[in-house]
Amino acid sequence: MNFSAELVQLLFSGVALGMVYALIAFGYNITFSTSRTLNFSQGDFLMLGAFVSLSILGRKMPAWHWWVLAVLAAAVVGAFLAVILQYVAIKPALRTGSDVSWILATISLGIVARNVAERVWGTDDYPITSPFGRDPWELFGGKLNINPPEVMIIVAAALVMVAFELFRRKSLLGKAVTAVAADKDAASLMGINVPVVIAFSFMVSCSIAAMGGVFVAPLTFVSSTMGALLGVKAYAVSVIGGLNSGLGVIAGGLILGLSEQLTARYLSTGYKDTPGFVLLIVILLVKPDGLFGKAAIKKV
Amino acid sequence: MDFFRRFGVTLLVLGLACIPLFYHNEYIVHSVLGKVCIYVIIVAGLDLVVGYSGDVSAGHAGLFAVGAYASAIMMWKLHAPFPVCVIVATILGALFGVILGVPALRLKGPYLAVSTIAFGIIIQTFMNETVWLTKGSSGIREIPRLNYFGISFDGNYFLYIIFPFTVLALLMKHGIVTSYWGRSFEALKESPIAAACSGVSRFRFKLSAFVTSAALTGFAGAFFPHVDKYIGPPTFSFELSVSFLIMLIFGGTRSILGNVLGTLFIIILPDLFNFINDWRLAIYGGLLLFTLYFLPRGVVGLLHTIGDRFIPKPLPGSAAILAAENLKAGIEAVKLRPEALQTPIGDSLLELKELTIKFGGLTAVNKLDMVVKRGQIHALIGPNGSGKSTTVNLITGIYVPTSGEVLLRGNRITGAPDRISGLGIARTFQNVALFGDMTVVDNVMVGLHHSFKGGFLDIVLRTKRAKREESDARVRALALVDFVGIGHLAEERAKNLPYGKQRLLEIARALGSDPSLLLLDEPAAGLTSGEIGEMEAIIRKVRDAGVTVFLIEHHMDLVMAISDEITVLDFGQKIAQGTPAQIQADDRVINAYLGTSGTGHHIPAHDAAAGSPEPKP
Repeated sequence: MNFSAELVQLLFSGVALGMVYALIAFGYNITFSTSRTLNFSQGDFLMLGAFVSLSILGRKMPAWHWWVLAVLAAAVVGAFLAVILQYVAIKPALRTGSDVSWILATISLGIVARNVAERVWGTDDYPITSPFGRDPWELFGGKLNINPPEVMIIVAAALVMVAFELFRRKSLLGKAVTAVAADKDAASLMGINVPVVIAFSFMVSCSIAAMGGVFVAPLTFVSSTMGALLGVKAYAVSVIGGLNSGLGVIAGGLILGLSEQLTARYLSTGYKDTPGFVLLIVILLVKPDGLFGKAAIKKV
Repeated sequence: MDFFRRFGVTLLVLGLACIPLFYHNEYIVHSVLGKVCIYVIIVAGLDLVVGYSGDVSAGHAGLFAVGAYASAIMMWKLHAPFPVCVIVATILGALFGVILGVPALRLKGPYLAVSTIAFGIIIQTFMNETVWLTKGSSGIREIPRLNYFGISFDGNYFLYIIFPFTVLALLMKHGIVTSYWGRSFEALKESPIAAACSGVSRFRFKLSAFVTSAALTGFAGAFFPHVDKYIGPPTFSFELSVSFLIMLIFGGTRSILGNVLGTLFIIILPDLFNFINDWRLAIYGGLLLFTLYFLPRGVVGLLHTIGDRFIPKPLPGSAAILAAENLKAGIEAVKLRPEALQTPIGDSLLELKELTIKFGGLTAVNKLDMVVKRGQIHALIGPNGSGKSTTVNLITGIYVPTSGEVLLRGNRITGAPDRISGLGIARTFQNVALFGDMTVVDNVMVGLHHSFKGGFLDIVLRTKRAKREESDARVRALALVDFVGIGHLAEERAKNLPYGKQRLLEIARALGSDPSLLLLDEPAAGLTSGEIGEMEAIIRKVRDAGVTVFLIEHHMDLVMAISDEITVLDFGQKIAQGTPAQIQADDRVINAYLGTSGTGHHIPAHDAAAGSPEPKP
């Protein structure tokens, strides 16, 4: 295979990876906009979603409809986890009025989830097959090989984000989410039930993470520790794109995914995580509101 | 009381130091207690960030690894003497603290948590990948023996190497948190804007807390290779960072006893119950959640609650209150800076020139020209949304003007709120912004921030200078608290004060910065009529002490009674300026703000207040 074909494939893998990060980061931004909090155990919710798909699909090549069912099941489990998250971590923490509480509470929920998964499924890595099979698709007469699960990730992640954006713009509940994000007090005065909207935003966010677990499972292995690093990279993407920007996460995700693939191929696999995190620190230094975020005006 | 406490603590420390002489179990004394001593330093350092500064670091394991690896590599490759390793590890810790803290601490919110987690992962990668330096996943075993004066410190006597430093680190932390540094950390946590307007640089003190914490963690790391004579990457995981947080929260933040108890308990826990190993993370996580909600002040908080029930406490700070009452705190409590006297009474002190700010399409303040003369009470009135508070925010550096300038004694002033405060402009807030968990007198001591010149070493070593500054400031603060008439509440927590007293406390705190100009943003809002009278008297007293007052207020009878000059704003523009009598007779003011009595005739001057759009209590 020649250099340019390899590069194209590499870039394609980077985009696929980037879309996963973007998807999780998209979930962070939804709850951060409505509640100024985010779930520091999102990666572990992703892991639980992947285990749900493992339970439903087994390890053989699944049929299409089973795969769709797995995605839906993961979404439901994600929403259910969001309720637990709300009652155990977020709501009591917000009552204390300090950032420290909710950050610590969501972190501790994550390590509990990881431990439980470890006891239930063990510490093994389970491979999982995508419904598209594992043989690469050959394009241009075999000059270019495309990995089917990567196509699936890009399409599925894009669909989920577009669906939520449409929902946010067109539906009444979606507009309520935007209203709460803009101004809680004013939204409340307009008759919007703010706690319900916040709870809803967490359900969406956690469902997205759990579905992300199903999407990414064929690329990685399913294991109790699979989510931790993904979750952290997605924060980096959120911050790079801007925590209060809508689709800045896609740019952030692509930057991170591509930098990772290129580093792994041309420098060393061991260092593939480093450029993204260095970029995170650089962005905070140079443009703290993120590449696409707007500086907020504080009122006194 | 103080003497007994010190005596008790000294006795306890000496008693603990004797453990290796009597108890010889190598696992407990060397491994467990050695680790406890090291981790206590880290947890105490983390307390500066989490407990005092209100930020979360979930990457202290990474800083710990930096210290441990620096020390191990220097001993192994360079055969450096151990004390040199400790110094280098501390400096490296501080350096990484700067690299992480500078970007993340400029923002409020979860940014520090996010970037510290990422930092921990980067450090993990480097430990595993730079095999030539760290031996990768196999770890470093080439740790030399510790022999001094012919005695081996590798066994249980290792405790004699680490224990003194643990005690010193705790003393240092105690010194920091009881000084103006500690107050600044807490003030920034409780109200960043009010702290900045009291002259506390948010960036400098948030960073100081984090860098001090990082340096302590690097320092502690330097000792770690000697615990097992081995270090490897798995130790310094994200879970270790979380464990540090659990030790801190479980023991109780803002307490040295809490730091020690929490660390001890969490380290010993897995040894107490075997089954815990399988469910270790779940139990830690559950414990953290439980503590956050049921024991918000940790084990130490619980001990305090129990203690208070059985041991009658002396009235809070009764000695200080007595001191306050003996002070003849008249007008002398208010001090003026030498430069404040340069401007003759009646000359321009503050001047606004074509001051303008636009928020998107809205011009909140439009080409405002105004002169505030020294020694006067100058009021700024106007309907809601006419740009009054925005003007105060522009003067104090919270907003940056789109165009135009602010001049103090003819010099253009710019910069962040803490810089403006340093120039002698103080303010209060429309929505009271006190440091609620701090005492009344400590609130005012934050206002006196500028009077502390001692540096880090003064605080840590508790030099005479630091002690003198502290006691001078306390006397000054009590005098100011008394000046505004709340001396009897000096040791009460600010959040427990009734609303009217909170407004007075804000004035006392503002006076702490020795201002030439005091900006009062609706000081009488929400007060009862009796309290308004009290407020009026205090404002006059402040003016009589030589401080120029710039006042935003809706209570027209108060404004008309005390103002020497009034400026009226409407839709961000000045529509009138003059004496109270001139303002009451001004057509535009009556139309825009004061209102007419229905017949279209001008209302008589003494009735103008009746037309105020704000209902009076």
